[in-house]
Amino acid sequence: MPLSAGYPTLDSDLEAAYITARDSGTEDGCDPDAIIAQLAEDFGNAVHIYMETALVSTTIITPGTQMASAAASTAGTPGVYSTPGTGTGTGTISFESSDVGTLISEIETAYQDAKAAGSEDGADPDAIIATQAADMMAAVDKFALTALVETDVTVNPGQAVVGYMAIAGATTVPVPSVSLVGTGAGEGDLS
Amino acid sequence: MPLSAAAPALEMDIEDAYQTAKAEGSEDGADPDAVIANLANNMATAIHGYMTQALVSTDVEVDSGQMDAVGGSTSNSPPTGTGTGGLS
Repeated sequence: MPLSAGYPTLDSDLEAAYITARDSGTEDGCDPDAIIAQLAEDFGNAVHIYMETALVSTTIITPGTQMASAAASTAGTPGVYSTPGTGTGTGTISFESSDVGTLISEIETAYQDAKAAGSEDGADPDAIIATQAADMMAAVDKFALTALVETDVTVNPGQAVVGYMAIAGATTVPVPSVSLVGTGAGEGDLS
Repeated sequence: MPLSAAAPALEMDIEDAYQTAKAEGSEDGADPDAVIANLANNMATAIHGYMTQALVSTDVEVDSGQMDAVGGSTSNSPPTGTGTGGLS
């Protein structure tokens, strides 16, 4: 499903995370560190699940240059793809579990830093908010850039294939050809 | 635009989300559930707006065995190509 379909779930998952943190904080003997740890885990998991809803679309180019085996009618001579190919790729993104763990850990650190800063004498709420926003952005940005991209590729037909020859009497004549639809795979990352 | 260019807006949007929650929460008769719902929505919108800016780069391998119009098929190590695009 595309990101636009994952967005409502992100919204509801974040809301649930905040509500859980609020409700936990109202319990007798609540542990702030445990609440922060749970909030960070819920937030990180929400972001992870959302990002993996992304659909990838690419435009691809290939250099051509493939060698083609000769069909029976071409006197045994090989062909070569003489023009580049174009096509499209579609796919998904995924993340290593270790990177999800890092995201959760860095979000927890951001919350802990805000809590510590807020408990100091003369704490500036605006400065605390600004720092937390920077820390959260850094964590999310770093995580997004660890995404593994995988695509299924379709290569358009129509690349020129030259080199095939056919026997014509006592000589040989060239047999031009064009490629049919091809397939492939792509791997990459986000930037 | 690449995520590096979208990151500053993400930071600003997150900060705005927290500032809005702080302001709403300090109003008389503030509804905690509404404040939380608004915070969650603003955070989700910020992350969604950031993520949709991502650029994709791939290394492409074409499968061997691609056919052509006269019945030939590719046989050597597949060539590599490149893919560029985005997320939706």
